[in-house]
Amino acid sequence: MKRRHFLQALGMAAPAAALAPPAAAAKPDRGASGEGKAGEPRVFFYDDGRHYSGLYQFAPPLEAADLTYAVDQLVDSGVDTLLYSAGLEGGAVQYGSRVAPLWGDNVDVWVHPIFYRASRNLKQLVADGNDPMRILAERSHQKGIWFIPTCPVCIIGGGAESERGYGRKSDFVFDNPQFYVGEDDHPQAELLGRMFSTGRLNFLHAEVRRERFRIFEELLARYESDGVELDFSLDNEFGPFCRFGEVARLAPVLTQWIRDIREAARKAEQSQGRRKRVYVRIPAGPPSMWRIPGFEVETWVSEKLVDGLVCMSPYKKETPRNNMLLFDQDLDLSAAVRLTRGTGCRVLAGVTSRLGRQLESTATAPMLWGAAALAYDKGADGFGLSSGGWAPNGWPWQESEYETLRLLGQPELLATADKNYRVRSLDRAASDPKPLFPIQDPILPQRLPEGKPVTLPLAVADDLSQWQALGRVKSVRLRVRVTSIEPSLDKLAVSLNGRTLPDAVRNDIDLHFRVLKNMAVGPYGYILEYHLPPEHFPGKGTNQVGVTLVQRDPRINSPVDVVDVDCHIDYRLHRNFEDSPIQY
Amino acid sequence: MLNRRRFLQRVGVAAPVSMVSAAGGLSAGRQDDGAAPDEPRVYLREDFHHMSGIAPPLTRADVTKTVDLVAGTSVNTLIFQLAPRGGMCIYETRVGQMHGSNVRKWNHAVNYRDGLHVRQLVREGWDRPQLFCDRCHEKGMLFFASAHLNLGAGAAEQARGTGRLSDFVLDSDHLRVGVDDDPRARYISPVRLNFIHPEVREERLRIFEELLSRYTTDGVEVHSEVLPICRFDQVSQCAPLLTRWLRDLKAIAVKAEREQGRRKRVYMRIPANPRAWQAAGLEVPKWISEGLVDGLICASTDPEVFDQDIDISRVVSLTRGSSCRILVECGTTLGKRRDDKPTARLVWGAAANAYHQGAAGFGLNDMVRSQRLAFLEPMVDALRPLGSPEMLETSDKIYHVRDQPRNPGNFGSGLPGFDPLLPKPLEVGKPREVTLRVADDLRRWHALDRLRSARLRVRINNLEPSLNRLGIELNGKPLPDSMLQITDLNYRFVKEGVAYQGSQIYEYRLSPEYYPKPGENVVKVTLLEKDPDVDLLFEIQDVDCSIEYRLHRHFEPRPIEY
Repeated sequence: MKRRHFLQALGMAAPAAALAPPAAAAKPDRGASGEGKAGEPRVFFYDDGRHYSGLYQFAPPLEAADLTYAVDQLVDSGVDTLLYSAGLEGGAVQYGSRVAPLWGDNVDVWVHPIFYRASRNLKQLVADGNDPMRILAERSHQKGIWFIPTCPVCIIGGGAESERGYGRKSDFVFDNPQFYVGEDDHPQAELLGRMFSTGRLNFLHAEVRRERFRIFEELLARYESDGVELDFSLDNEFGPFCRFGEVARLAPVLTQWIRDIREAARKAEQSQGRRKRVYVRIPAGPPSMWRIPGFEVETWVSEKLVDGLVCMSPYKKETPRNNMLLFDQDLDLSAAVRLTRGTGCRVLAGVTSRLGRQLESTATAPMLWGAAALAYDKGADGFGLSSGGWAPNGWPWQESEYETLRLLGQPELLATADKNYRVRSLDRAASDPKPLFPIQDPILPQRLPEGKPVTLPLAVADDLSQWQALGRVKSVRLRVRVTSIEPSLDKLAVSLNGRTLPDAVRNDIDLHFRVLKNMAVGPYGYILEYHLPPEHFPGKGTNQVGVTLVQRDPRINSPVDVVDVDCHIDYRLHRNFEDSPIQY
Repeated sequence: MLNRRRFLQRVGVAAPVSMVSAAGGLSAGRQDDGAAPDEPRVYLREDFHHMSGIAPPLTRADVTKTVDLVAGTSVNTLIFQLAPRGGMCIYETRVGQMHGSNVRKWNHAVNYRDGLHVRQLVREGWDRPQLFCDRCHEKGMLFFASAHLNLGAGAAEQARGTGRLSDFVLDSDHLRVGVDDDPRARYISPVRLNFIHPEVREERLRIFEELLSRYTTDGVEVHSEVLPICRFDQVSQCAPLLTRWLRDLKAIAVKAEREQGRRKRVYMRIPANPRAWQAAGLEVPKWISEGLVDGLICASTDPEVFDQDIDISRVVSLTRGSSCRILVECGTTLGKRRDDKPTARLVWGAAANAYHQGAAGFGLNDMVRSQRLAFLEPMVDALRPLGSPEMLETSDKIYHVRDQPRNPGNFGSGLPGFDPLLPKPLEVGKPREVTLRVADDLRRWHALDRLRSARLRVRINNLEPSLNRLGIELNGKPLPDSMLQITDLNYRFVKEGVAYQGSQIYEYRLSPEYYPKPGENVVKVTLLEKDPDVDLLFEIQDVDCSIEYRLHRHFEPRPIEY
């Protein structure tokens, strides 16, 4: 019997209070939450259950095995926990619920081929006795993977009548406009992302809370899940589930609702003899961030209402006018780590992997390894991908995806994995961010006026001096991408932690009208690449990169922007070990 | 040592023009190079951006890097746009205005660099057109200088800082076409200059004269882009003016030929569609019969779009027995999910169609820009068969019905043949026909066991195969389900993202009795039954035929698996 199965089986036989794995069985865990945490989620993958699975991609009819591919793709991948979406933002669910409508139950005529197929697939699976929640839970446990259903806590009504043909919105949201948040005069309301429309349901209404509660209760009690994740985001955007002026009233109501969920989890735990965890998806950052939507995280942790915090970047935002999609490696986990220290509550860092660059729409492996290394360095207990899916090379995954995932739960291996650390940067062509959650550091792109330095924080987890001493560092390159410059006519200076980097280690990469397959590189400009010698290596923690346009060519009237700054660190497998040691 | 091409060039120089001309068409309708091997066969273009990707300062070799990149490939002709539509010349002209010479302050980093390059060229005494002539001739290639026929489309004062707009273009409001009430002119720039004005014609003629007389070019290309070159209601008035202008140009070429002892060709790029000639005022039959043009570069009415099915039958019949050569040019905007520009197999299909109809050569409307043609990978291998119709015969190909790329150009807007064949909406019981041109003689190659597969593919959106019923025919024969394999793209992720959301590809692996024939084929699609539960428009979005060959009978590239 595998160790995880053994522990799960043990959990089933023991009373709830004894369900936490014994300290003696625990692996050393350097996360914030303390000891005795073996057998808990470490690397999670959030699957929205639709895009990267059979519901959308497989032609009907489906067999159970078509759906359980969502689990099978994770087997021995490094991922130990599947967060699987049980429902949609419009209230319809993606499993054979007895308390909520199935996707498309209320549709007469479909207006979207993808959603139509998803609904057909779901209905057929349920009709055949293959309730997705049941078969996914079973398959996960067969394969030693934690199965934690997740669902949005805030749902959205309103919208055009034509959306009825999508099947994503339940009759509950269509028929109860009196529960909508409605127009909000508060100035912060303008800063909300696209999902937080006026049609979102106000959680101050008992009926709204009850509707959501029943679903989570069912996911805990009727299925052999390992808990639930309360997704307090909408597609990874955060905001209040009420008007801004009502947040103070909402906060204790939401906490009480979580208390009720906790109680439902306890009951389910007792009846199933299986540990039932309650995880919550919240914005990373200081408590002041949590207060914006009314999340009393301190109370949730101190009262042990939650078993884990999934901390996400608070900055994702998609609106037609203010697109801020970004890959955020440098999550502020300090408050969550401090708060949970010694409590048993886990802190998992969640990243959305969208990069939004010309060649890579998704963060590369060295970028994800950088994000994971930073998370562990800051005290996280685990790490995960929370985009709803992840397909850097299309789907199904290829070998490179498995190579990427393999290291995400292994801080020691991450220490010498190649990495790319990036200064936080907006989606390509986005500018002028207007976030609901205050951004404390400069975010790229930044305008570079002549003579006025721009200083940018660059977080690095690697102890480069240690690895350099062991002959393990192959190269460290700091790359600063700047638009509209001509190095022979413009003078730029780049510093790292206050020390100007010498031109002797600089390699200019010309991006003026550089043509690649399918595209000319944009924006036009240069990458100033510095091959850093040891005396200029970045330190562990936050480094400061200074960029100064010392002198601008007076013949051109075109603004200069810093658009990307990153640090590539490559390692050798061993001292003096070259991957391709000979050329002929 | 004198190589054969240079020798023949010299012979041409010594001979009268009539003797220098190529022989007429040969069997199978194809114009053959046999008698005149040093005529353009495969060409590529270059334009003013050719050194935009090179950081200053330049070395002399940087200037002609484009030539070095394609030397030794099938490309035997470089066409270089030296006087583009903004009116500026990108060399030190004596009769026009030089790029960037009227800029007070630059406002575009790339154009600024172009301007820096121009200044350095002048400073160093490097005369760009001549450097290109010399380098092409050293490498056994022909060099054609190209200039735009029609100037000023899209010109605006704020673009002065790009250095691309001449004072003539910027300051000649009285010479513009102006507002044209003809609905066909809806998407055409009204600020372009009107060829009806003698000042416009004279300005252009001076530039062409310089390109022919001052440099050892092998000819010029008159590059038409935005048509017509006047208001639509002035076309009949303008047509003879353009013909007369070409007559003058030809006379200049003949004179330069005599003076330089070098063959000077006049080629003109035109839409291949004869109805477009009429609409735009192009008296093509007269140009041919009078010998005003040595070659016609036949493009799609929308010259930017990738179009394999350029029907040159009319122009081929007109040139039969004359020395006028027909080159076919395919645009390179494909705009597909995985490939914004055509792959080698698509380009080979376009070239094969051109030769099959009797073209003497083929070219790509895409710029080298001192870099490799990034979309044709590996470039040398992709270019290799383009000048060899026999090699193309058994090259793998994809024949694709022209559709509407994501970013269509509007250069041919308003002219016949501009609108794409696809997409086409599907309604129950209403058959839709699409023409698919194929050059391959599949039955012949099948008989020789050389054919690996021929697959006809029809992509339709919004349709769920299990709930709808389609009938698909090729040349009147219904294709059986036994040959059908459906590829589900309802929501399929590829590296580039979701591929053609909501689509299905109906792919028929054709058996010999269903092979398409050389020439035009008709694909008929009928929606026989539609799912009543959806309110969605079904469309035919892509039709293609993918043909793969074996190197020899029973020859597998990877014959064993372990």
